[in-house]
Amino acid sequence: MNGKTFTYSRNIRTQKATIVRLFSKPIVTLLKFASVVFLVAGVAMLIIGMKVGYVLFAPAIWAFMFLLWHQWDLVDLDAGNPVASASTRLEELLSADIVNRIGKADTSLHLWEAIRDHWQARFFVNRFLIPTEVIEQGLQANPVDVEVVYAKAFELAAQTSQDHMTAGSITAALLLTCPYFEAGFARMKISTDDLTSGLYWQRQIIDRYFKRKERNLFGGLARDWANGYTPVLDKFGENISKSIEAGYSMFSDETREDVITQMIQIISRPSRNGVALVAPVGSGKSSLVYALAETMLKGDDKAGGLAYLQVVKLDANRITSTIGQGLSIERLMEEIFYDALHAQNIILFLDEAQLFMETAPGSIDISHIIMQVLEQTRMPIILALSPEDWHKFSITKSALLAQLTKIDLPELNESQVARILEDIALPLESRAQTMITYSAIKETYAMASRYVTDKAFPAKGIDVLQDALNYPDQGIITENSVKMAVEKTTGAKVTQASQVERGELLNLEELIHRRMINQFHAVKTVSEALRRSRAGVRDPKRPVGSFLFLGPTGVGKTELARSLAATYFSGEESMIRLDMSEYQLATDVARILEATTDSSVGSTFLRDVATKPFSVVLLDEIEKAHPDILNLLLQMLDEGTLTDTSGRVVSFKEAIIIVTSNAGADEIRRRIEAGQQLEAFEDEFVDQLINAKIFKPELMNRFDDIVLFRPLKPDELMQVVQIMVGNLNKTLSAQNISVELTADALQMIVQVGYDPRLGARPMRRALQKYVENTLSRKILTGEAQPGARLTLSAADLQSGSGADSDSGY
Amino acid sequence: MVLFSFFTWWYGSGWAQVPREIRRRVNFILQFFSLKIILRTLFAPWKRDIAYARSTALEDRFQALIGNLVSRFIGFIIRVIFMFTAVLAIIFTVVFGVLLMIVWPALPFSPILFLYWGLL
Repeated sequence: MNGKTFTYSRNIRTQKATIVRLFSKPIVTLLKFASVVFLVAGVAMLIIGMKVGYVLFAPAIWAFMFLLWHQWDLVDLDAGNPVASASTRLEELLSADIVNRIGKADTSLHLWEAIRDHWQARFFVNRFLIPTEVIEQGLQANPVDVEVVYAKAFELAAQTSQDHMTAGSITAALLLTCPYFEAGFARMKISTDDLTSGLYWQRQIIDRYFKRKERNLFGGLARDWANGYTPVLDKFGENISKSIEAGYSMFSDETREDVITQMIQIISRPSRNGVALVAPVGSGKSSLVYALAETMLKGDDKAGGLAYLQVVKLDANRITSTIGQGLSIERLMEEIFYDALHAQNIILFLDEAQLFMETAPGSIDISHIIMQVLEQTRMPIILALSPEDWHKFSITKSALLAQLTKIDLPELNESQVARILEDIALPLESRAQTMITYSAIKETYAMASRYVTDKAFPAKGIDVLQDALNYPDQGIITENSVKMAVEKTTGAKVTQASQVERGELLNLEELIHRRMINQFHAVKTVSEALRRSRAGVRDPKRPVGSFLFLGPTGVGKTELARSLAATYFSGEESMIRLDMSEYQLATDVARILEATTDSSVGSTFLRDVATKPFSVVLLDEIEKAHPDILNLLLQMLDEGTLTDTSGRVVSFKEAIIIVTSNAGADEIRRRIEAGQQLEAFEDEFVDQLINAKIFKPELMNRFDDIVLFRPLKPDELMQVVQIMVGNLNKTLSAQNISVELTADALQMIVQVGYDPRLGARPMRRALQKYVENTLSRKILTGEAQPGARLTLSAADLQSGSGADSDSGY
Repeated sequence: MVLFSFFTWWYGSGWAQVPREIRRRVNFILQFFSLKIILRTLFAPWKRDIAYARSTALEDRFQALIGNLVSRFIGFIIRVIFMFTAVLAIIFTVVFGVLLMIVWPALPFSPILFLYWGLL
């Protein structure tokens, strides 16, 4: 501690604090009403000649005096900043609402008992889900010296820029100084920083809802008398400043005040005063412009020479809807700009400025007009653009961009995002009639940064928090609500595994083996990677797992990826497959990195990954890809990200990456046929591939595991056929028909379909030719009716398929 | 306790606060009536309703000049009326404030006087 000793003695402030508590809001209102009634009644009585009317003036004057005292003095007992002046007198340091309650408390438990009903104490109880009884138990079992608590509360108040020690800072201090809570907090994942952050949140609420503020007049009644009317502009734009004036919301953005100052400086310049706000979608570009409009409306020193200027947001939709209605767009824009220029108090705001700079549906290219205006007038214009669009226009509209001063919005850090989320939590709570816990706010940041990739903060955090309102946890919004929301929207598994899921995970091998035969080592390896990921013990900066599957064609490499997607991910559609034989040229690198945001291109690899981050990424036949593409693969495996051509980062951190290759397939087959065990020659085989320069060692080292697939034996192939027949039965179940093959029929399919070079793959064709053809004939001739359970022998297949007698069987 | 606290404030910081309150209210009136802006733009055309000469002909220029002078005159008249209202509000506030300052020390005891007049 800092060696301070805190003293307490009653003084005039403590007396006044008692009086304030006595005179609650309703009593004060009643007094106001009474003073007016007495005054009016007194005057009325005097007018009608009743002298006793004078008597009524007495209570009216007393009430008036008390009201003056109340308004000018009593409600302002927390003026001054004793924390900053390092006072040690509790009668000055404690906020007026608690100074009489706790000044004389001699134990930490008494301190708590004195404030536990205060909303600021309940704030910690509710938002951090710490039961009151636990706090009492803790302080009883492990009392803390009140001096220590006060010193901590003082430190916290100073740290969170509070003028006084509040019920909130005392509560946080009690929780932080009592060793009893340490283990519980560790279990609940509550840190010292979290409690301090909770105090910041509380200060925000006090500043916003409890502090008295001077009414802002936004320049007064005659503010716009010297500025022109804007009839055309009003039709095609939205006056943001007027919306703020009408009291829609508060936009002051403490976290980005420096950017607002920068914008004011640029707009105030005598020339080149166009601004381009460049930041990813969801970074809060528009709300920053709203904050700028609010600053200018207030007209104080911060607004500088821009006091009372108004921001009008142009509406591209309304403008494009006039196309074909007689007036040319050029003429309309001239009128709009004329209005704005003539009025002399307008700043134009082009939100999503790309809508005004290109010819696409819903857009309109007026960049040449904007450029003229910027060149020839002092009209301030603010454009909001994403970095991708800025990049695009820097090539196609470089002359226009040269007229603008670019401001790159810095990315918000965790505490800045938390402040914004905390701010928005209160209106969300009142709308949804629920309560949002601190852990929900914290989890929102963590989940949104990890799983939401198509937007930036704060928008993605706000979206996640809003979604979480649909998943209340025992009536309130907790970290589980947030996880549920993310799980539902992204498909990623983030909530604690349920009993069923845990069972699935532990028996993943068995589940996968229902779809594929043998390859035990491969199945085990990927299953273990998934279990590690789900248990949270993997490196979150790299993909969930990355594997190189080596082996001949048709032994189940692709099938394992597909089985994994179907079994554990949300279905086979969550597998993103890239046939690497289509990327054999150096120029194909650009195709892989095609911009995720370019709407003119259909589905692209990176866009698929960006929209389905929780997926199985299968890169087939990697040995055929160009070496430059293998370099991309290195980055993907190492950093878990790739950057598209527009500069957007796409994450692979939630994906399992499976790379397959047939390289050395003949060698594997030869060795297996020679009776060697797969495990015995794995390392030697990988070395051979590296020595033969088929794969670079740095690539091989990046994989979590390299798994060799061996050719299937005839009896395993029979099992494969049985799985295929099972799938066929699933298709037939709609017609209530099922089919079964006898042993000789199974053998026949294996014999016809097996090709040592192609593995099990030709068996699909054999099954089609013999079984499916036989069945279709039987269904069409009416031999197989709904409810039929058919057993087909080799002879049935031979005759039913219509195969030639010299087919070899 | 209440009375002691009250009188300490009334004859101490309360009395000193009256001029501050007058100033605050006057400031409010100045802002409410936008007096700073009004003074700065006293002769500006009303709502920038200005005309440009259609040609360089003397007649056109003269017409535009007259139109603009009328606009400026209308602006001036409205602003002056507005300023006058604001000045009245300020005078009222200051007079009331000064009166309050003067009667302030006697105010707590004035009810006794009223009771005396009313009852006797």
